[in-house]
This record gives sequence, C-alpha cells and structure tokens, in this order.
Amino acid sequence: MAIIERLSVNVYYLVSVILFVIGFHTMLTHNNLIKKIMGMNIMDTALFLFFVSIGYIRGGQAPILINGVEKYVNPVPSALILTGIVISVSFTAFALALVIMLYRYYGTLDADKIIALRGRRHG
Amino acid sequence: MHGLFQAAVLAALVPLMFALAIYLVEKHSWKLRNGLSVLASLASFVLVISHYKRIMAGETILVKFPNLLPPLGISFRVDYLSFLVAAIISGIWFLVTVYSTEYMVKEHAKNRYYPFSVLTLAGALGVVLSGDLFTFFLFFELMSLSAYVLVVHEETEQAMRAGYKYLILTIIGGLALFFAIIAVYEIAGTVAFTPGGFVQESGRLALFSFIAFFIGFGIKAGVVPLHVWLPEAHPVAPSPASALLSGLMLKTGAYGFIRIVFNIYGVELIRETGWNNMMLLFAVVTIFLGSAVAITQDDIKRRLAYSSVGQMGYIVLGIALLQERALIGAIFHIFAHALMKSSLFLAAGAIIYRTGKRKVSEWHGMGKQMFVTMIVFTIASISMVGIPPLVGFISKWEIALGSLDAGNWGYVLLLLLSSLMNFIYYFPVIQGAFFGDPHLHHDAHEDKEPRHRELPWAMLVPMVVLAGLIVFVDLLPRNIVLELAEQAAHALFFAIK
Amino acid sequence: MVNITHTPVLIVVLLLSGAFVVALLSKYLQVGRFIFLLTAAMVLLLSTRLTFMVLEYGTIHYTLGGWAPPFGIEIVVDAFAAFSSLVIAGVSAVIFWFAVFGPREVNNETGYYSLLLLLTAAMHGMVLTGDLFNLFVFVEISSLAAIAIIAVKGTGESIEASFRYLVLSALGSGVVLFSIALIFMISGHLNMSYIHDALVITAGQYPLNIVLAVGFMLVGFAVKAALFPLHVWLPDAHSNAPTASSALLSGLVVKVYIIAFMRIVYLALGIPIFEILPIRQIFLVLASIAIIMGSVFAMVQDNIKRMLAYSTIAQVGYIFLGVGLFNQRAVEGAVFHILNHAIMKSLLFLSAGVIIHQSGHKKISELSGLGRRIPFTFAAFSIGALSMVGIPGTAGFISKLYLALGALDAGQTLFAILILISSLLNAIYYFPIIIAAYFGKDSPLDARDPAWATQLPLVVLSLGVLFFGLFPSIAIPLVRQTAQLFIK
Repeated sequence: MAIIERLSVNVYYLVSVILFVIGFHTMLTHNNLIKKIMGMNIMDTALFLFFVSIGYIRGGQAPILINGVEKYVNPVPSALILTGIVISVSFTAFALALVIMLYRYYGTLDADKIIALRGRRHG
Repeated sequence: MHGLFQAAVLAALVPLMFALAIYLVEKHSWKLRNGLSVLASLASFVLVISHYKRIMAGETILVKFPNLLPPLGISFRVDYLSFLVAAIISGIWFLVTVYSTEYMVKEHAKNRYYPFSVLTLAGALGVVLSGDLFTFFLFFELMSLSAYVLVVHEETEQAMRAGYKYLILTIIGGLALFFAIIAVYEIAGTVAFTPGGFVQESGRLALFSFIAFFIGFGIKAGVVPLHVWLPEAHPVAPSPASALLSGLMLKTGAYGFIRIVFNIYGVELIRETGWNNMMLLFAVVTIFLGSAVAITQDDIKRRLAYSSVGQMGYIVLGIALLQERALIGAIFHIFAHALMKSSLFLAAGAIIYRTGKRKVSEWHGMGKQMFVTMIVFTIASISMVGIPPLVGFISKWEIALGSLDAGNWGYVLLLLLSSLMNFIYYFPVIQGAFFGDPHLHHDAHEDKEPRHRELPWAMLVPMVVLAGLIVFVDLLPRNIVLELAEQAAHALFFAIK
Repeated sequence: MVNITHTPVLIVVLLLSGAFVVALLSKYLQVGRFIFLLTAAMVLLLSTRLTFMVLEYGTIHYTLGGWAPPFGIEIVVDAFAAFSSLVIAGVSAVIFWFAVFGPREVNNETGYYSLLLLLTAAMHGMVLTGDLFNLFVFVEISSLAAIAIIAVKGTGESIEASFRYLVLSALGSGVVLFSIALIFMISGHLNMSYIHDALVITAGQYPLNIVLAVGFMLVGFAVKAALFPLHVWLPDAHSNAPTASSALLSGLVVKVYIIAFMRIVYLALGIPIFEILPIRQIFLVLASIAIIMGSVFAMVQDNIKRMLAYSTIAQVGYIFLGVGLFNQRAVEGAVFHILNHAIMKSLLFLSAGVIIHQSGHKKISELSGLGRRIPFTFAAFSIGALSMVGIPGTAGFISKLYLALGALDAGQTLFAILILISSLLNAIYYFPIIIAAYFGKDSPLDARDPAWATQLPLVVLSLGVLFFGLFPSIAIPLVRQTAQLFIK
C-alpha cells in the first residue's frame, strides 16, 4: 500500500519519466524522420511536466498575494517552461524545415534509405 | 647589457636570422644566398670563438630568460664543453657550407637547401649552448626537423622512405626526451645543467626518465638498436648534408649523454645505481655491430654511415665508463670524428660529384684521376683506424686508458678489434683507388672518357683544411682541443656541488 | 557614453541585434557585410576591455535588469568567463573575415552572417551567464544556430548531417534540462553560486538526485561536445559544413560546451559531487579513450576535412583529461588548450577549405605536390599541423607541456605517456600530408594561392599559433586565475 501511496504523491514524476522514455525511444529507434520529431516533442513535453511539477504544491494557489492564502505554487518553473516551450517549438519548426529539404533531395523520409542513397551517390 | 645580445645567445640566434634573410633574398640572387649561407656559419663561429678568453680563464657564462616559456624557462650556458663542441660544430659547418656552394650547383631546389641548412645549424648550436634541458630540447627539435629537409633533398623514392623513417624516429626520440625532461622537472623542480648533477633519488620515475633520455639521445646518436634510421638517411642526403649529419648532428646526441650523466644525475648517482652499465652494454654492441656491418657495404656512403654508428659507440663507451680519462677521450673523439667523418663524406661526395660512382668496387684507379681528393680520403681513413699521430689515435688512446682505470681489459681489446675492422673496411678502398686497375669495371665507351679533373677550389680547400687539421692538431706545440677536452672532463668530474 | 559596468551584457546584446539587423539587409549586401564585421570587431573590443577589467578588479557580477539574485539573472564574469569570451571574440572575428572574403559557399549570404552572429552571441552568453536556466537557453540557441550553419550549405549530405546533429542535439538538450530540473529540485535555485551553497548542505541527503543530475548533464554535454562514444554526429557535420562553419564549430562551439560543463560541474555543483560520484575518474577514462580513438579514426580518413573532424574528437579528450586530472598545471593545460586548439583547428579548417577550393580536391591522396602550387596556404596548414603534433615553438606544444606536467604532478605517469603517444599518432596522420604536398610528385593542377583578403585570416591565425607557442606568458595571468577558480 505504501508504494501506491508514494506513487500517487509522485504521479507527475512517474508520468513524466514514462513519457520521457517513450520520446527517447521513438527518437532513437524510428526510421521515419517525422516520427523522430514527434518523439522529440514527446520528450520535451515530459520534461516540461517534470519541471512544472517540481514547483507544484498540492492545494497551493497561484502566486498572487491575496489575504488568507498561505500556500503558493512556486512560479519560477512555470515561467521557465514558457521559455522552454518556445525553444521546443522553434526546434520543431527547424527540424521540419530540414525534413522538407531532405525529402526534396532524396525523395524519402526513411533515415536508412537516405543513408543508402547518400552512400550510392558518393560510392 | 640585455641578455639577448650576449654572444652566447647570439651564436644560436644569428643563424636563425640568417635563415630568414636567405629565404627572403634567394629568389633574387643566388650569389647573395650562397654568400649569406657561408657568412651565417662564419658569424656564429666567430661569436663562439669570442668566448675563448673567458672560457680559458675558467669562467662559465650563463644567460637566463626565466619568463620566456614558463614554467621551465630558457637559458644559455657556455662552459668548456659547450664552447668546444660549439666551436667544432660552427667551424666545420662553415667549411662544409663553402664546399656545398660548389657541390650543390648540380642539384635542384637549392633555394630549399640553404635556408634549412642554416636552420639546422641554428638548432645544433642552440643545443650545445643551452643552459638547461628544456632549451636543449627546443633547439634539438628545431635541428632534427630541419634536418629532415636535408635528408629528403633528392626526393627520390628511396630518400622519401629513408626520410620518413628518420622523421618518425626523430619524433619518437623527441617525445622520449620530452617525457624525460618533464619527469626530471617533476622530481627535482629544475632542469638547469648543474655541475655535479641534482637528481638525488633513484626511484622509478628517475629510472624511467633515464631510460627515456637513453632512447631520445640513443636515436640521435645512432646507438644500436636505435640506429635503424641512420644508415638509410645519411647516404641518401646530398654529400655535404651527409657530412653535417654524420659528422656533427650525431654529436648532439653524445653531447646530451654527457650533460645528463654529469650535469643532471651526477656521477655518484649513476655509479650507485649502475645505470651506466646499460650504456656500456649498448656501446659495446654498437661498436661491434657498426664496424662489422660497415665491412659488408659496397655503397661508399652506406659504409661511412655504418662506420659512424661504430664510432659513436666509442663516444658512448667513453662516457659510460665514468672515468676522467675515458671522458677526455670521448670529448676529444667528438672533435676527431667530426673532422674525420666530414672529410670522408666530402671526399666521397667529391668523387660522386665528378664521376657519379657510389660503389667502392668502382673506385679502382680513382687515386690517379683525383689525387688530392683521394689523399684526403686516405688521411681520414688512417686516422679512423687510429694510427698515431693522427687525431683518431688520441681519442682511442684516452678511452683505452680510461677503461684500464676502470679496471677492465675487455674494452681495450674491443677497441683494438674495432680498429682492425676499421682497417678491413677502409684499406681496400684506398688500395683499390691507388693501385687498382681502372679498367676493371669500365665499359668500353667509358674508357674513352677524359681523365677526371680535380675539383673547383671551393670544394678542394675545405677538404684539405680538414685533412690538415687531422694531421697537425697533435703535431702543433699546443694541442688546444685536447687541453679543452681535459679541462671540460675535469670540470664535469670534480664539480663543487 | 556606455556605462562601463554594462560591458558584459552589451557583448550579447550587440551580437543579437547585429544578427537581427544583418538578416534584414539581404538587398544591401555590402552594408550587411560591413555591419557583420563591425559587430565582430566591436565585440572583440568589448571583450578585451572586459578582460582587462577582470584582471584589474577581479570577478564582475552584473544583474540583468537590476533584479538581484537569486531571482534575477546574474552574469558572472570571472577570469574563466573573460578568458573564454576573449577567445570566442578573437577567433570568431577572424573566421567572420574569412566568411566574408573567403570562397563563396552559401547562397543566402546575409542569412548566413546572421546565423554566425547568433551562434557567437549564444556562445558568449553561455560562458558569461551565472544562471543555470539562462545557460540552457543559450545552449539551445547555439545548438539551433550551429545546426543551421551546417545546413546552410544546401547540399544533400550537409542537410542529412545537420538533421542527424539536430536529433542528437535535441536528445542532449533534453537530458540537460532534465538534469537542471533535478538540481533545481534539491537546491531550489538556478543561480550557480546559490546552487553551490545549497548543495553543500543538502547534497548528502539526495545522492540519487545528484548522481542522476550529473550523469544526465555529462551525457547531454558529452553529446554536444562530441566526447568519444557520443561523437557520432561530428565527423559528418563538421566535414560537410561550409569552411567558415567548420572552423567555427570545431574551433569554438565544441569547446564552449565543455566550458559550460566545466562551469556547472566545478563552480555550481562543486565539491559535494566529488564525494558522491567519481566524476574525475570518469573524465579520465573517457578522455583517454577519446584521445586514442579519435586519432586512430583520423588516421584512416582520406577526406581531409573528415580527418580534421576526427582530430577534434581527440583534442576534446585533451581538455577533459586536463580537467579530470584536476591540479593546477593540468587545468592550466586544459584552459590553454581551449585557446590553442581554437586557433590551430580554425587555422587547419580554413586552410584546408582554401586548399579544397583552389584545387578542387578534398582527398588527402590527391593533394600530392600541391605545396609547390599553393605554397602560402600550405605553409599555413603546415604550421597548424605542426602545432597539432606539438612541435616546440607552436601553441600546441604549450598545452602538451602543461598537460604532461599536470599528469606527472598528479602522479599519473600513464597519462603523460598517453599524451605523448597521441602526439606520435598526430604526427603519423598530419606529416604525410605535408610531406606529400611539398616533396611528393608534382601536381598537374593549375592551382594558385587565393587573393590576399582570403589569406589574411590564415596569416593572423598562423601568427597566433606561433605567438602563443613562443610567448605563452601573455595568457598566463588569466589561465592561472582560471585554474585557481577550479582548484579552490
């Protein structure tokens, strides 16, 4: 029972770690370039969740000074993650642009085929 | 006076400046290029000799630049030993450069040869004038790498192969030295040459450093089995370069041995630990193998190169015996062998220059065609065998006395055996040249060729001067070189710590 | 008149606004070029002034927008930051000149310059900032810009290489962010010196967090700095990029990640982690493998730029080795090597780029005899190569000397020998190129040295290599102070 209790407290951490592993795995093992980018996004989301949940306190309020509110959520992680999301979006956009160019050159989105094609051209 | 402008420093730096000047003018005037090359060696010779009075008065000149290249710093030092060796190097370099102005006329890429020859001189002089191991190392690398260009000058496939071997072994030697030097620095906190030495402990790191020194200097001095580059590299270089490499550059390795034994580790430590036995063993093998293999060589320059291997063995033996008289012999042999081997290479080069004949077996009748050259060759050969009163005899005599001091007859026998072998490989050359049948190996059409004329004076004079020195150094009322060698050995042995 | 205290932030602001302005000037190419170079020159001036300020007054603390730490972002200019900033400013200025006056390799010129400025801004930011999350932002900016300046060449291979770089870089960024989160969890701060103070107290209670954080941080930065087993992206990326990009990437970008990593590990995490994790031993092992394997791989390459790229992997090992040995001399050696390698690797990449452009060949086996055709450029290449081997009189020798002395100081003779073996390996793959170029059989090509404006960066860098080889004393005060920062 204690385990379940601990899990329920740390559920955000658990979920973010699972998401992180899924993203990591997708990014490394899938040949399709678009799927790699999706993996990257899943991984980033996991990290955002993890970061934000660090600052979260159960029952805490938004950090605006109101009389009678004692518990505040730490605002710093949320603020940081806003920046993180922006970075993630620009990475994704840039990666997609590269994928479009790659598709123009090689006519495929399969990483292995691209490597094979490249080898043939320079073989 | 600022340290930079002292003669000891200038002697090493002036050739550097000259190398740059030669590089700048050589495209416009070959006369100026040759003139500057000769002048560079002459200027450094004069700068070295200018210390004569102070050295003879027993002074040691030290110039330090501790802020240059910290933490080890740069320093220069002139004492008996470095004065003598520097004078030998710059003096003979001067003669060989005069010779090369004529010899190189037939060669290509002269604009590359001269600056690098002068650069090598700068390195060699820097090596012997340096006051600590670190400065020594810097100039040692400069010398070794510039010499690569001299080795591969011909650019034949053979030369490139020999050059590559030389280069890789040079780098290995350089790295070994580098390791040894920083190890000494780690042990003692200094690398300056100190009379009596300064390494106190004989721990593992000290032993490693000694072995690394042995490898580094052994490669340069051609100690068997580290000599493999030498018989390849020396013959393929143009003859004046061979004379420089064999006659002078090898000596920097021997000089390094003297410095580390007496000024880094100190005689007591070496004697205590018995590290000199390692040197002795390799010296014996070197003397024996070098002379033995020389007998089998038909290419004259290869024969001379193997002979150099054997002769370097004498010097290492003289150092490793740790006896004053043996050390005198070793130091004097630096001088003697420099004279002998450069005259031999110059003479051989002169014959190759005129006739293109590199093989000993083709030299029959050469004595009639090129009389003076062969006389020079003969004098140097006799001296190599060690017949009094020529210079080669004195060094052997002193080394033999030293080995008796050490209580070991074996080395005397070895010296005699080696002299015999020297005789075996030099005598047939002379005999063939003077008394052989010139038609033995000639083709029919070659017979009609006119007699080979003697050489232009620029080649002849340096050879004659060298031969003259071989004969007269010991006949003059004062043998200054021997006196200096004695003083140097005395100073190295009986230093006040 | 700009207030003297704003200098640190001005560097980054100037570069960022330069990047913005230059990108808009595609119609006015000459103006764009002028502003591009002007920005670099001004940054170099500011960086020099910053260095002198640090030398005179010691570490400078600057708070962005006047918000005091721990909440505001703090810029901490210690000796290391000033040194790194100066190296970045100096070398990048030379490379920028080459980008403008060297061979044309990209279509959208002003866009390229803008990216270069952006990358430089991020590098300055990375070494100057004292805030962990701010550092992360700069890491991301630099990663994006670095990938972009590879892809900008527009060939299939360069885009493929840059995509591979992007994927691995994103992974690296991900784990770095994870690591920052873990550190934030147990320290509650993002300001490096506050983290340090907090961790001294709390680290012992959360060893798992520390181990994970340092492990992730190591993996993340190792990917970006191409430490050996994670170097796979580097050879393709650096060899397929335009010449100026290759020089910038190999010479500076890789090293800036190491600098950032060193700052985090030694300045932010500090002593507590050394007790929990044998991080120095990990450095030493990875560095040794990198040094040997990088050289071994470099030996078998025929493409000259790929060879240089593998050589970078080995050189990164040198820096990690110095950091791992962790004594005064070894760290001095590592810091020296950051400077020296920046100069010599840029020199090598730029001269190789010129050689490839002038001759049309990029294979080492085809460069035979070109030393006579393109003597000047090959002389510059040779100086760089000699320096890589560590011949005395060149900058490379100084790093070798300090690192080897440091290894002996640490009582690790083995690592001193490792450095020497690596020098030998370097000689084995660099010397044949020079030998073939000068003494090999004549080349039938009608190649010539390029115009003086292209050669100028090569001259400057060659002189730099020789200068720091002969007079390293000039950098000693900064290098020594840096090492003292680490070895408190």
